Parts: sequence; C-alpha cells; structure tokens
Amino acid sequence: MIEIRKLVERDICSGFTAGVGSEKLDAFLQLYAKQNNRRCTSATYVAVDENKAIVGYTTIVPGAVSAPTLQGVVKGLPPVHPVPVLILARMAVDAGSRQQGIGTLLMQRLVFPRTLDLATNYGCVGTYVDAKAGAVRFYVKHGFVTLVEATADSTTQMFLPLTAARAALAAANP
Amino acid sequence: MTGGVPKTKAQLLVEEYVPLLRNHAVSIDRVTLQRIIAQTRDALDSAPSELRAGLLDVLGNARFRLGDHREALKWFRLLAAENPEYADPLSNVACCLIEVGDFAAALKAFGQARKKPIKEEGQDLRIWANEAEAHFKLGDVTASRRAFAEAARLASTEYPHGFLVLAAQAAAIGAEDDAVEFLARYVAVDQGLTLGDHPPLEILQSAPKTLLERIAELPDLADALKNVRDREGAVAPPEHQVRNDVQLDERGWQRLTELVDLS
Repeated sequence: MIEIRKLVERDICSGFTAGVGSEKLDAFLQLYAKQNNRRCTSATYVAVDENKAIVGYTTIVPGAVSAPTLQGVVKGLPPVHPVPVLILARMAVDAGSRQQGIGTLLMQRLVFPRTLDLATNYGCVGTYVDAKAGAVRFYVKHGFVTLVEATADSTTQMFLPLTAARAALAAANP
Repeated sequence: MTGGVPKTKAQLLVEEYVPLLRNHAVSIDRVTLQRIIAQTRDALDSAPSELRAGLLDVLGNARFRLGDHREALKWFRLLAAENPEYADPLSNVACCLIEVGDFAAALKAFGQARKKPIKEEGQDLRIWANEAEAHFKLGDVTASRRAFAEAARLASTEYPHGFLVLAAQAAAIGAEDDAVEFLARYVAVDQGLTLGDHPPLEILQSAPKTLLERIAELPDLADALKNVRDREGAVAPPEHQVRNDVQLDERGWQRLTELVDLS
C-alpha cells in the first residue's frame, strides 16, 4: 500500500536512489527538500511504502510562464502578463520501485488534484514541467503536450492543460 | 548481610567495561582505555572459560576505540573463533576489516554474520549499518543506501543506542541529513523530548555536553553536523534551486496560447 503525503522532518531520505544519471534528484530530496518545505519555497510530497521507505517524490510550486521577451516590447504586439501555472519542479521514482505505477499515483493523487485546486481557488491555467528525455513519454501518457522541443543543452518544455488534468483525474476516479 | 561468593577480578572487569565500551554516547580518554587493556590482559590468562568472551570483547573494543584496528581485529578474530555460533564477534571482525581497508572481506564477514543468531541487542541493526559503510567504501552508493535503509528500518526507541550507530554510519556514507536526524532521535529519547515535526537541529539544541564531546571525537559525524548547520543558513546551489518563473520562446508561447484561451 503506497501512501502519498507531504515530506516530514522524520522521513529518512538517504535510502532513495533514482538511479544512475539522476543523482541530482537524490541530492535534492536528501539535502534541500525538507529545508524548502520549512521555508515554504516549494512543497515536496512523497510516495511511501509499507516499510516507510520513500519510493517516489514530487516537488511542486506555483509559478508563472512568461511570453517571449519581444512580446509587449515590439510595437504592434500586445503586452501579455505572465500566465499562472503549477510548476512540477522535481519528480522521481526510486530505481528499485520502477514499473509499479508510483509515478502515475503521484500524478493522480497529487499533481492533477493540486493543479485543479490551484486553478479553482487561486488561478492557474495548467501544469508546467521541464522534462528530461527519458521522462517525456511518461508525461505525454498523462496528458502533457510539448511546448518546446529539447535541444542539446535543454529539456523538453511541457504543459498539462486544465482540460487534460480534469479528464485524467476523472479517468483515474471513475 | 548479603553473603554470596565474592566476584572475581575477571567478572568485575567484564561487568564494568563491556557496557562502558559499548556505550557509543560515552567518550573514554586514551589513558583510561590503556588502563582497561592492561587490567583485562592481566586477567585473561587465568580467567574461567565463561568469562573469556567478555574479556576478549573488552580488549577488542578498547583497541578499536584507540584506533588500533589491527590489534582489535586480532582480539575479535580470537573471540569469533572461540564463539563461532554467534553473529556478534563476526560483526566486530567485519567492522575492523572496514577500518583496515579490506572492504570486500568485511562484506563477506557481514554476510556470514547475518546467517547466525544474534546475542547482543541491536546487533542486526549494526550489521546492516556497517555493511552500508563497506559498500560505500567500495564505491557502490546504491548498495550502501539500501543496506542503510535496512538498518534504519530496525531503529526503535527501545534501543536508543541504535540511533547513535545510525547517525555515525549515515555520516560515514555521506547521508548527512539523516545522520543529524538520528542524532536528534537519540537526544529526544535521552532527554525525554517529543520529536513531533521539529527540525532535527532544533532538537539538538538540547543535546547534553557529554554527547557533543563524543560527537567531536567522531570526525564524519562532526563534519555532517557542521555541514547540515551551514547548509541551513545558506542559499541552495543553482542546480538545487526551485525556479518558479518560466520563459518560453515564441514557438512555445504560440503553442501555449493554442492550448489556453488567454484572450
């Protein structure tokens, strides 16, 4: 039985390993996630198994997507204010717990509901994520669309519209 | 009148020094350790067989605390040879092997130890925790973290010393925040505090002076505590900052406006 809840001070994070190439995700959870929760600069939620081991986590923060710098500056283009979104800042599943639907659970129980909650109560047009190459398919499966393709030194910029979040949540809770 | 047979020297030594040396929270100076070794060595040859294990344990642990790990290994190997039925001496042998740099042999010894019954409270936790260090020293961080997670699972307020073991081993494998967390758990039990969701550094403000002195003797743990304190007051490096402003290029913005009605 997997529990999805906010990361708390008593959680032991060092057992979590997202795998080779994802060391920064491990380090973030182990060194900065609790600190950020305390400072309220982001919120990290964890998927915890029956042994209280962290098997996945997600860090979210409200944010804004800005138009290209030309817009509003160049004559003839209307000024556009930044658009409020929920930013999916980090997401990782423990290497030993892959293929068990942990990522999907985090999306269904956390990302979709928080996106809709933010939209309803505070204003938000969807969820934004910078997806690493290996994660693009996962996000597409959960309704994200590509805004900007990855380049050699950047990730894929992806977006989940509210309509897709609603549909995904409804499908997960028929 | 209490009566009874007077205790032998060996008996008194075992009763006093075995718990003292196993108490990770207590600092013991070098002069005292050398005195313990001399007294125990004197008593060993004439000691009855049922007390030999205790005396060998004292000699191994005292040498270990002195940093004389090869000598400690010698005593623990003798203890293991004379008591092959239990996991505990083998676990101590393995700890010495880590200290002398023979990590593969240490892992083998831990593996053997895990197949035997345990005599000493918390030994199963210590085996996993020390195995984590051996994996770490061999460069296998994943195996190290997995072994540490097994150890952490065995932690309980019923055995507060386990928290200190975990703190020391977490520090040894670079898991600094968990090291401080386990220190905090030890302090909470020791001082009768409620952990709640208080940050560990806050709980450590109640740490007794004797424990802080002991931590200062353990370089990995002292460094972990310092690094966690330093990090608490610092700005995260760029790769660990959470950005909340996203810039799109023209193509990306156009795509977004197709998905969201911004008019």
